[in-house]
Amino acid sequence: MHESYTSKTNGHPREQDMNTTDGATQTKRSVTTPRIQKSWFELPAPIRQLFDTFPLITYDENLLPQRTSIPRTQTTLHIFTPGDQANRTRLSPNPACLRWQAYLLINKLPFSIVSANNHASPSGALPFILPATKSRRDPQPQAISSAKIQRWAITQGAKEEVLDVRSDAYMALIDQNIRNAWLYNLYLQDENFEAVAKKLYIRSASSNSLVQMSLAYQLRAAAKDELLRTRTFIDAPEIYDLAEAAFRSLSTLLADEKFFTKTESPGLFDVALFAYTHPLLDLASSGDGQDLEWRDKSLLQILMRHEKLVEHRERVLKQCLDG
Amino acid sequence: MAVLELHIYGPAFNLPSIDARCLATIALIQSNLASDDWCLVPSSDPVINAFRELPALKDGALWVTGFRNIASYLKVYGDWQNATAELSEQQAADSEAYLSFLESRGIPLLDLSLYVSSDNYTTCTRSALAEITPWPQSWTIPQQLRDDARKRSEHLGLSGLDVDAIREKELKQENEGIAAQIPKSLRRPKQTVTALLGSTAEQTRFRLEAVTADFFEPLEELLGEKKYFLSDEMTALDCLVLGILAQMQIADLPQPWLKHALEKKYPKLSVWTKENTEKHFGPATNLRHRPLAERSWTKLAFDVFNSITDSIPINIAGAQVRKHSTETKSTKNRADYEQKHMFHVKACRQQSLMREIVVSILSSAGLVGTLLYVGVLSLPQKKPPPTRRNFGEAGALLGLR
Repeated sequence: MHESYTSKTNGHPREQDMNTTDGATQTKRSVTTPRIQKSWFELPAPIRQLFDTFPLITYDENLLPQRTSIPRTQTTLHIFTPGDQANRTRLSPNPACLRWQAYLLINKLPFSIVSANNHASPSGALPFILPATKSRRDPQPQAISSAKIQRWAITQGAKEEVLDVRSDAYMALIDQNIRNAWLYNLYLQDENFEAVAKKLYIRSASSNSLVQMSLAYQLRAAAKDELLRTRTFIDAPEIYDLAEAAFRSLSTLLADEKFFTKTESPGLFDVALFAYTHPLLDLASSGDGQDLEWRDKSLLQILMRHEKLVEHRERVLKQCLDG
Repeated sequence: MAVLELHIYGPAFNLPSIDARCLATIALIQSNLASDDWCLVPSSDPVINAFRELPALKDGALWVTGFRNIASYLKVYGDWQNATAELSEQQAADSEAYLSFLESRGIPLLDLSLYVSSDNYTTCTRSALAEITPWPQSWTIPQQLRDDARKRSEHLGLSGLDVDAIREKELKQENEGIAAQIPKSLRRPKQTVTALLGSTAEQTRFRLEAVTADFFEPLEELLGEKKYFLSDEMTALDCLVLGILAQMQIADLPQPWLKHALEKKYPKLSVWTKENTEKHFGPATNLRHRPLAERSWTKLAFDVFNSITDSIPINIAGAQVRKHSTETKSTKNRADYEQKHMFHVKACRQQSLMREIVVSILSSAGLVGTLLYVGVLSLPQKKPPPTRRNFGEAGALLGLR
């Protein structure tokens, strides 16, 4: 050790070596004296030593999950669904996912469902589609994000529909008024958050209570941010008033027609509304053994006052389950 | 009855306000109240009310903010001849839908044009804002409005208009690595493909065209051959359309894509806007202004304090969220507005109290720290342990230690 030390400091203490009679003991002393800290930002030695021991173990790379043995020759829609046994007609409780699931169902396109979460998506948001490949050997195709699903579906044989200009404006009611009320109802209403959102999104993600707490906080903060994007304060009565007005207007628009398309089959506008009305009405009472149920039924009651929309949901649901 | 005060962002671009919703509210009140019953106050500072929002209507001690709320409050407010009451069911539905449509599609477009687009913001909007906002809010408000506008319009995917942000990113990349060693004067400007293709505004043109068409087409379809958008009477919807379109027709912007799209492709809308802008905001209309009161130095000091402490993020959980009561009412009365106002006043007061507490704790900690550092104060030092009496050898001999 001594050898290596002198060789390292070769040339530096030469003068000292020549002048002192026992240069060896001199250098030895300089080894044992603690190094003088050069700058304020340098870590103290004990902490440096501690960090030098990390990483203790480096694990091998994870293998690809074995259960994703979905045949690549089938189109898969990645959405949020509770539970593992995903059935294509088992409807997602998440409006963004349900819209496209229902859209594919009513257009009778072949696809299978994969239960996923936001982290699995290339764009960071669900849903997305992995199109089928001709054979198992083909390279994996690009994922299709939700904004492009309609265009993709039309190439696959879905009927092309042009929204008339007026329903483009009515779409703002769904994307704005009803969505905001839904966000408030699910995430910011404490009782509903405990009874529904926690069971749907948080318990399924992790069993660790610390992780659950931070996830819950993140979800609520995201919902709050989204609501505060267009307003300076959150006022629940105002949000619900706007939702009420939206349901009333949509009910007037539907009039006595079966669907908003004014034909015998529903279209994109129908599923866009269905994506909110279905989860609202589905959790009206805990029927299917999941004990998910709205505790605070304010928004549900607002919807129930518009019977035409409740009936409309029944009709779209039937079409979906047939699909 | 007291005179109603309408507080707004001040005038700019030959219009009575720089903000579309404020313009809409002016048109709304103007077409429904006699000019003696109300006046305009160009205060340009949202902090004056507990909601921290403009436009704001002040009726005695009660504040009502936001275009929609003011519209529904006016129905409650006394003898207003309510035009929306005469709407048919279909018209009421259209009105609701298009109001949401304007707010979710129209306002973000204006945000893009006036705030996000760097050219327009630096040459026009910023100087206009600086003129109307009082000091010291003129430091904070323009930047805050721009940040809000960015947030509202980011979903349109046109952040490419914000050349500042892109340039900043490029500059950061340039100043890293080997390039940083070369003196700036000797560096050759990098010729990227995007630079060769022309300015960013040109690249985003295709996307802009799609987005503007999405907004203008439904409006033009609704207007049709009618005098106004719903019927031959002016309604709340027309006011909001007017506010937004009037702002879109501002002249002299360096990037006038919005004005061009409106004038070239939708002449019917353009003509309608010009006529009504002249009628409602033109020089012929005499809007009664109440001049701003001179600010006392205490108010000025308070404003300075506020603009400094506003940046401290204090959020009492839930303070900003008013819960929904289970009872449902179909019509609102004045008491509802008062209740809502009271709630937000209380929340606001709580928040400012918290802020004051934090600021006073921090400043007193700073003061004590400085005094300690300077040496005016000193920590009570431990007394040196009393030295034992030592009796020396004799003591040891006697057992005294």
